[in-house]
Amino acid sequence: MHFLVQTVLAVLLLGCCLQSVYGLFPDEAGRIDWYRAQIGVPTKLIPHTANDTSLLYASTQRNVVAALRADDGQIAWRHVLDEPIRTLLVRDERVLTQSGANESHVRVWDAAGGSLSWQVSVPGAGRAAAFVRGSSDVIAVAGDTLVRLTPESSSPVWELGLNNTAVYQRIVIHDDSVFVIGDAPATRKRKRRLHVVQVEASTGVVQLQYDTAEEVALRGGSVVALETRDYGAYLVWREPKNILWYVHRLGMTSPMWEIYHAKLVEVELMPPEMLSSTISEVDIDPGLKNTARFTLTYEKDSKTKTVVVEMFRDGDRLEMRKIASFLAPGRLVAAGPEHTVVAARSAESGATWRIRGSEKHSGDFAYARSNYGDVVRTALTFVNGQPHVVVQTASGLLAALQPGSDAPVWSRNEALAHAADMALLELLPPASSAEHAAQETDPSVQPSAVARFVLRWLAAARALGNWAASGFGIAGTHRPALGPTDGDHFGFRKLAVFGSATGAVTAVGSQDGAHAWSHHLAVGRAPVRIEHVFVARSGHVLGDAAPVVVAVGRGRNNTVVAAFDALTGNVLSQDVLPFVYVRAFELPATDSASGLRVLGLVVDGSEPRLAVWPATSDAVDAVCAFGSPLFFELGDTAGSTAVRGYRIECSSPSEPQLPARLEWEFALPAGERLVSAARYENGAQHTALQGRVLGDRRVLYKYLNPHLGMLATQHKQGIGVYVIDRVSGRLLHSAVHEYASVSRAHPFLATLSENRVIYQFWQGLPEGYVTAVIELFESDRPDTRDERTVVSSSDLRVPSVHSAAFVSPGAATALGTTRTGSSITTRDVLFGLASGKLLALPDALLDPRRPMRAPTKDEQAEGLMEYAAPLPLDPRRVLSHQHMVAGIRHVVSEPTHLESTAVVAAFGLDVFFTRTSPSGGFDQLAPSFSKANLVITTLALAAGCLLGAPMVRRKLTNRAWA
Amino acid sequence: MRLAYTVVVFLLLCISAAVAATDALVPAATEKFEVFHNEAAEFVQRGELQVFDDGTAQYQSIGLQAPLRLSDTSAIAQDDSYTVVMRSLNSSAQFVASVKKCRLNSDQKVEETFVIHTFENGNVFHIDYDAGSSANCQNDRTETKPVTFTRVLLKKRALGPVPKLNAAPAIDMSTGREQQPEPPKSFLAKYWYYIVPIVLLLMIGGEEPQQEGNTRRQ
Repeated sequence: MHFLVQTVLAVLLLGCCLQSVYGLFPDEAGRIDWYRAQIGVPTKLIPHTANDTSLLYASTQRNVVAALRADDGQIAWRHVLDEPIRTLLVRDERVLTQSGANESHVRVWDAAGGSLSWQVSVPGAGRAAAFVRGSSDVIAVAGDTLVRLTPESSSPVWELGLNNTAVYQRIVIHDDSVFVIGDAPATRKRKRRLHVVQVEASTGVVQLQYDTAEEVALRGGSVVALETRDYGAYLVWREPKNILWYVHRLGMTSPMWEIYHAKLVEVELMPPEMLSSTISEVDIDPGLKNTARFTLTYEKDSKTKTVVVEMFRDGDRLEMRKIASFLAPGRLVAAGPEHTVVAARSAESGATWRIRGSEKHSGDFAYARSNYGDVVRTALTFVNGQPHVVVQTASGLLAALQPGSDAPVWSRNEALAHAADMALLELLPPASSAEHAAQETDPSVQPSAVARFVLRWLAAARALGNWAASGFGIAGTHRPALGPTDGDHFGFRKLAVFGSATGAVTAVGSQDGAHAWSHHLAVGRAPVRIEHVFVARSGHVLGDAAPVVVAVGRGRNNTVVAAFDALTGNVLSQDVLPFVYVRAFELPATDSASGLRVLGLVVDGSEPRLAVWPATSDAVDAVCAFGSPLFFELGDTAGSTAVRGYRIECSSPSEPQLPARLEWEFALPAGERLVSAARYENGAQHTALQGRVLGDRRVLYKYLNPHLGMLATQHKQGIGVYVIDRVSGRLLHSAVHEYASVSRAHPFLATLSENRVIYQFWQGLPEGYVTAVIELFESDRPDTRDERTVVSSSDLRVPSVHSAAFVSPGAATALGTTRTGSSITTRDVLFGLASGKLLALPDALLDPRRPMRAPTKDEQAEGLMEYAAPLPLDPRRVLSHQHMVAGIRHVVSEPTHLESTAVVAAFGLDVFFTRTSPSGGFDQLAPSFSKANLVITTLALAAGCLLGAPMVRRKLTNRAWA
Repeated sequence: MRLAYTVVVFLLLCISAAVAATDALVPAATEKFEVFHNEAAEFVQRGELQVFDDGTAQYQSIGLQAPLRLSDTSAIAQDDSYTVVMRSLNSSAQFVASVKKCRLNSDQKVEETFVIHTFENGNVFHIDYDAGSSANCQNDRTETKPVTFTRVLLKKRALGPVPKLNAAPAIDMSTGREQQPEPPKSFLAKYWYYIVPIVLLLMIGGEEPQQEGNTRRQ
């Protein structure tokens, strides 16, 4: 009996042990990262069918030209260009783009596959381009030059210098005539007008040029250019303060107007309505039909109405007829094939849309406008003959809708492609039944002891029921599906909150990218340009107040600070502050009333001031009660010639904004301008080791200074690099890189980590990208250190500097370092490359103390490798493996609960999350670890003990009798 | 007599050449600064700082009687700061630096340090200043001690590191592979053309004395 009890107890004890075993399982392979390809917020959407596939072509604010599949919204192909896209046209299985501010790059792409058919670059800003009908050629305006380009040659077929009396922004081609239309500014003698140049398309010879349409501008909403296949091209306009509409056939100057009439279409409008009306072009592929469409938008009875007008010719007469009308502005009307047009508009509970023409449909799209903003663009596609209405919202949501369904067929949130900042929030794992029971039966919650006893038994019964329902599985193997706001025991699952320039605040799970919530920040209708996201309160403990994230952005003339419940996305507060901030940062203080981390917003002016958020006296008191003076610097932006440091003054804490006193000024040497500034970000200054242990066991102490900053300047000889203390303004190290340069194509990048400054720049001689490292030590003599117990930035400490340079593994667009919980794990240096790779190199490769010869035994013991200039682009160190993460601008790392592992995020255009273990998973069970073997071994040992115990007892008894 | 005269002239020439050479070794000052300290809301000259073209610098205190006072400066003497102004005598450059005044509240002698940052050609572009110690701010003393010892550190802007590239490996045009370095030759294989003639000379030329001796003996 005694033996049986022992056995049962032992088994129960082992069963308890099983519950607390966690590890990485083989089925987690490939699930530690996720990737999302983005295109950015579209500036133009053109539906087209290529190779029997319905596609939606887009040019976007992120310089992307892309084709989305109309049936599922996935990217069929995309190309990221280096310059803004001015023109996007689709015709005959070809896509035409014109891009560039200083040089016009005309490219023609295969519409189905996206391959580049041909491209030509012409000097001058790209302003307009058009296909030549019946030919592969393109006619384009670059600067003040009109060119005809052909795929057969890199040189133009002909080029024509246009007179600079107008800015030419529109090309209309009819038969062999090219009409180039430009805005001619007002002069003393003449009013503002349009200037038309008629050019022979085959030769480039000017046939005619004249002025027309006074007091209108091409982009003012008062003039449209219409093209028809056989009946010529037209301009339709209305002069301001005039109710008459004029229709002018291009190339015909006598008479100048073919029609002029107040009632252009079949709509009765009173003069005030007429005077406020605007017209816009609507055809997606103009010039291919003998009818041309445009929209007329007017205000009537406090409503915005739009009629779609079709222009056609009946014998010799030019006629206009109304083909549809909508309660929506003209910019939200889009044309489909044949006579179909669609319009969408924002409604109370989202958006509503209508299709008119050869087909008639209507429907609603239910969404919270506070989450995604108003509808700003519409397109109409057809998939298997079914219409799909694509709506675009202000925050960057694209959704495809079809008749008979309120839910979108597909949707894409392109706001993440414009993310300016991201905060990673620690999440709690879902509470277990025991934790729930503990919460419910806490004496502070339930004072009655009897009730607590009953609740505990009920909780136990509930847990037993759940266990039975799960098939009596071993605890831990049956896991409920986790949502994006559920954490885990390892801290791998976090909530990533992005702030975008489109005004969108978007929260996604860091583990799988699952969408948690979104919000659209706007002042009136103008979206807020979000630049910072902070975690103002993190909920580390079950039962704590909900975590809070704060987004800070700029309105037109104001600053917007919005606080959100991080788990639900509910807006807790939205403050519109009557100033434009120049710098926002976290202050080392907490508002006692709300428990929120206090933020500082610097208001620039003759005397900079610091506005505190939350704007409460408690928050100001908390800032002023901080033990040490607080500092910030200004002037560390590109183009600056001096950086100034300020100390926050608490002389009058009752004021809403605290004054700041100039403490130091670092004037850059004459002829130098700042191109980049860097400081510690995201806890990169933390370290676990104060020194480097050398091979002979002596220690080289690191120069550790949390106020380290770096300035990079451009001058005639090259690049200047200055390492400064941001509190005292002292210069700690300076260097010059000759033949180096900084430009938009070759940016200067820098990151600070512990006692190192790592930066990349473009070297002109020899040509290539260089990664340089500056490492600061307290002294160049081992075992020599600053013995002061209190180290202050105001004390002069001149560091010893080691530096080295390496050939970069590629053109980087972002730099960062990994960060783990206690900074014991070695760091990886993260390179976000222009090629779309996220590369993690061990920091030992970037050690400036690597010897130029074979390392000695002491150096080997220290872990130093022989110097080799190229940093390897080792495929095994590419964290993004096969993914092409386009347009990386930010690389961020956050620790997990495991010291070995860090979460790494790269975002810019695309978004990529993964986790990495720079020193290997030393604190994790290996995937090959067999828990079954462990259990069997333990059981075998227990059985051995149980079996051996009587024998030992017998032996001891015998020995006692002997 | 003429010899003595020549020797004297030669010695005089040597001495003058030596003096000229010594003059050439004296470093020239590239920058010279007047150093003003703020005392009672005005800036009073306390010394002169010279930077030489050989990468050295020198600070010289000046007497306290009727020192020069700085009037044309934008620097403001703050109540709680100890500010120094360095005015260049070579140009219009002026450097201002300050430390908290409480750092000088010491009962021991107070030291100050100037860190002079220069370009490669020795021209100064930035000056850092330090005096006293932050530990003194914890004292109860309110009296500021005068600076009694000055240290000058000169830091030249470094030439940034460049990647140290190895020579590109030679490619064998016939195989397209990297050419392997030739195995090192032995000493004989390397210098046989020196050794052989010497050995031959020794062999040929070494017979003659013996023959001569034999002849003499004969």
